[in-house]
Amino acid sequence: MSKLYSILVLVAMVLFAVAPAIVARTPVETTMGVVQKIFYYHVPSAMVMFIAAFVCGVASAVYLFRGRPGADRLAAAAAELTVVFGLIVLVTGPLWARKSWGVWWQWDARLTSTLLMWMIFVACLMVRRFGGPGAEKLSAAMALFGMANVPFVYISVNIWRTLHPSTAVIPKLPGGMRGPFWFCVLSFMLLFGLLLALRMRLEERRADVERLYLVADHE
Amino acid sequence: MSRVVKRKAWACIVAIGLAAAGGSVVRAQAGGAAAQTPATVAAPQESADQFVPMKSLPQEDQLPAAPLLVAAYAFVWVALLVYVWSIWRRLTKVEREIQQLSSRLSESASRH
Repeated sequence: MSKLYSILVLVAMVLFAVAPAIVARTPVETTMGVVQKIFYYHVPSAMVMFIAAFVCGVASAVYLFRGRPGADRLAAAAAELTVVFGLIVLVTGPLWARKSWGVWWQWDARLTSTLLMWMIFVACLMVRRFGGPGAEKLSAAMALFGMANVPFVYISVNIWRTLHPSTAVIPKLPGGMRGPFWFCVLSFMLLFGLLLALRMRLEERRADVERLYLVADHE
Repeated sequence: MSRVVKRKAWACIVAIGLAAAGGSVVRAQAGGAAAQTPATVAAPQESADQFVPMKSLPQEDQLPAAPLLVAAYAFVWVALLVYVWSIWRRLTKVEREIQQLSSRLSESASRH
């Protein structure tokens, strides 16, 4: 792994270690109290989940229509990250909801559409793992549908009546909350970039193994 | 009508009759008990026909927020660490496989 990668890993770890201390100093929200501080990890995770889904969808489209193997590797890496960050969103959200709404879960537009989108990407990974020959193309096609869900999940809170806060909350964040929030967003984005690079390296090495097996078979 | 059918019909009639008799006994006893309720036992409360909201929840009924907050942050850290560990484990396995294959190929190349 390159020196630059190691430095970025260190930076990401420091940012992540510092984030809880910064969040502890943020003002407490009036109606929700201390539990609102889950917001500083929940929303950046959701943003990363959307970006990962988008990257996966675009890479899948390139692989399907141009046939580039590098795009397939990127799609595989991004699909896994969509599932990981989606899981974080789907666990931290209910922990916040339990206190704010009094229930762990509500079948409202935002929560239901997020769960469905997450399940599509879980299905993409399962198809890759168990689908046999040609599974990459099937997974890529599913990822396109997963990516198409992203705008619906995002605007669902603005269109339908839902318990979930709307997208207008972020631009109207008070000063004491804005700085720590964007700090956490930066930490999560950096972490996403690093994990994507690491996961892609795994796919590249797997491709190297397949190439070596082909060479070994020919001999 | 055959004998079996007749027997079944009588069994049904007897069962219905017993059930009716039992029901009337139970009703009679309940009526008697109500009539004999002593004055010292308080009359049962009427069931609620409306909900009256509270302005604020008393402290002892409020759900504590700190465990949920800590659980959320802990889950994020654990999930990311587990994921990084899983990538590292898979990468190590693949690198080992590459080394084995490379050494096998170089051995066969040197033999030729």
